Amino acid sequence: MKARTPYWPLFRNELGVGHYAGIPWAMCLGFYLAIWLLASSLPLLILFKTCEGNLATFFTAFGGMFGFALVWWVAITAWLFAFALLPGISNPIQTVRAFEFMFTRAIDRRHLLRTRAAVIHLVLLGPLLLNLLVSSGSRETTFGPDNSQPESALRREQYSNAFPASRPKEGTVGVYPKEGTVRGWPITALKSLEQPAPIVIPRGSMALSAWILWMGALGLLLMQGYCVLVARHVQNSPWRAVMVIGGPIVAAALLAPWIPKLYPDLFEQSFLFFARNLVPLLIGLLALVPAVQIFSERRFSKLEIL
Amino acid sequence: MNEYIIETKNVFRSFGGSAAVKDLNLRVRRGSIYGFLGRNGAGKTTTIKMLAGLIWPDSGEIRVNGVEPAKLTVADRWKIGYVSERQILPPGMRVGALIQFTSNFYPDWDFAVCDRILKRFGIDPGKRIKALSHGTARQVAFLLAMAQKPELLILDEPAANLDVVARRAFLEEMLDLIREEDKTVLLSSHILSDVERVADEIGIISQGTLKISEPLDRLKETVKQVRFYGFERGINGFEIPDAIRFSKSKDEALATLRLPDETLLPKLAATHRCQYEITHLNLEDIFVEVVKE
Repeated sequence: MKARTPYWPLFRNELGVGHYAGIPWAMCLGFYLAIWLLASSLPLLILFKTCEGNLATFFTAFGGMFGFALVWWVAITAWLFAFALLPGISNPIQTVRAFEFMFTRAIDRRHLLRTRAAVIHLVLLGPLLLNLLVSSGSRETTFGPDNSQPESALRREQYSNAFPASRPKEGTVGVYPKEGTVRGWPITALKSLEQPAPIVIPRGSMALSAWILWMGALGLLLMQGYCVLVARHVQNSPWRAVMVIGGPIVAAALLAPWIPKLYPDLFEQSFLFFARNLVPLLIGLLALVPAVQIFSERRFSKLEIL
Repeated sequence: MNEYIIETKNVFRSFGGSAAVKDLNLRVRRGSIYGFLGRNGAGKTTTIKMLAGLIWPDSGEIRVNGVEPAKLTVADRWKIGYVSERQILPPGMRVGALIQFTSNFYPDWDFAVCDRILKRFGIDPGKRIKALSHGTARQVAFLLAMAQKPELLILDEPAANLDVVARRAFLEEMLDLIREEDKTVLLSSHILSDVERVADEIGIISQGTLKISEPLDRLKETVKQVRFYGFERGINGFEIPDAIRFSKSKDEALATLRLPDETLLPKLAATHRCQYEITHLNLEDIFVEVVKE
């Protein structure tokens, strides 16, 4: 008989099916789905409601919410991996010692970890993937005109380079009136009365969603690698485990407010870099998935349960 | 097929620089019930965890059913049942759901055995694990190990923390089932009366070293306590280097000895011109003599 660990029972188990009474489980699921849908639509909502589909102003808003999103992301990711990988940390489904139960059944530890990782990836990347899917049907994205930055022309050129298929928006006038105000600014305050028309970025919102998904996936893989790396050193000490998991969360909370202040262009430049190098970055990410997984499975197979 | 289902050679394992198991050479014969005895902290659980593939030795070799525990495959695990003293089952699961979940991983899973054990122990399959008493949870763990139909059953203090009545009932039921299924059992316990009732072979570990490993009958037959007295030429110079335990006072000596045949004592008494008196020991006495510091 082929000795293989069946996948679906483990998958259902990792989702907590059969571990809780129906109503609490359904309530948790409902709450999670609400968060999931909110998270999946938030970037696009900001883009189209607050910034009217204009990337020129999006990244300021994005930078504002980035701190919160980063801390939330790191916290959720770190704890989910901690539950999955660190026997020293009690988790809501298995508890500390149930690791021993799972490790002494006829379950391939590598398959166990693969299932756990699949569930975590699904839970955390699902909203971002949904965001990507929704963005494929969203309305067009533009860039400019933007006079708030003196480097406007440079950025416009960067966008044009990153998105060679971009084109000037049709039906827009590229010259402002000689009197009056533009967005509340007196005309005299503007550097130039002549403004280029906004450029239309085909599939711009998709590129944006793909960039967010790419960053999320990269962060997830790095966090998985980190948790696997520290697992053996903290496997039997809940306090040490809490400290190494809490470390990145605290670091993220401390760093997040400073990033937009110190590097105001970081997100936009990162996005443009992603758009310019889409293929190699996607290949790199795809290559990282098996590398991290194999590394994780090897380390997980050698975990000790004292 | 190898005669021994468990074999270890010169196994060493330490924690934080302190040796938990030293130079362990353990062999468990197929089909036997091996009582693995030791005081708390003697190295029993460390040994068993190494056998179960939960921790790894620092040096030495371990073979369980011919395979290194670190390399046990899923098919190898089908044949090894494991119940530990502190093993916690998934607390939120109902007993029935846990049985169903665990059955997914074993091709020969025996639901009839599950039903039988549930009935024998009076376990409600609709109850969640966290609602069970400690003893009942142990019984469920035992059920899960038995239903997979293992060739080797490793039981680490399976009846620890149970009251006397519950422990006895549990052990009796467990033994009936084990005998019916004809399995090899490694039973670790510090409750000697439990082990004495069931074990074929005994291993005694003390301070990380396996002091004794042999059939229980032979152990009880050969290990005796002997009081030497009436030394005509004085007790000075009277020593028994091979004794398990030896002490002497002004005019008598007390030795716990392995006596493979009847002729040893008369020869010894004749050489030292003394008399002797033999006390037969039960397992508990032998255990105390072996592990006493």
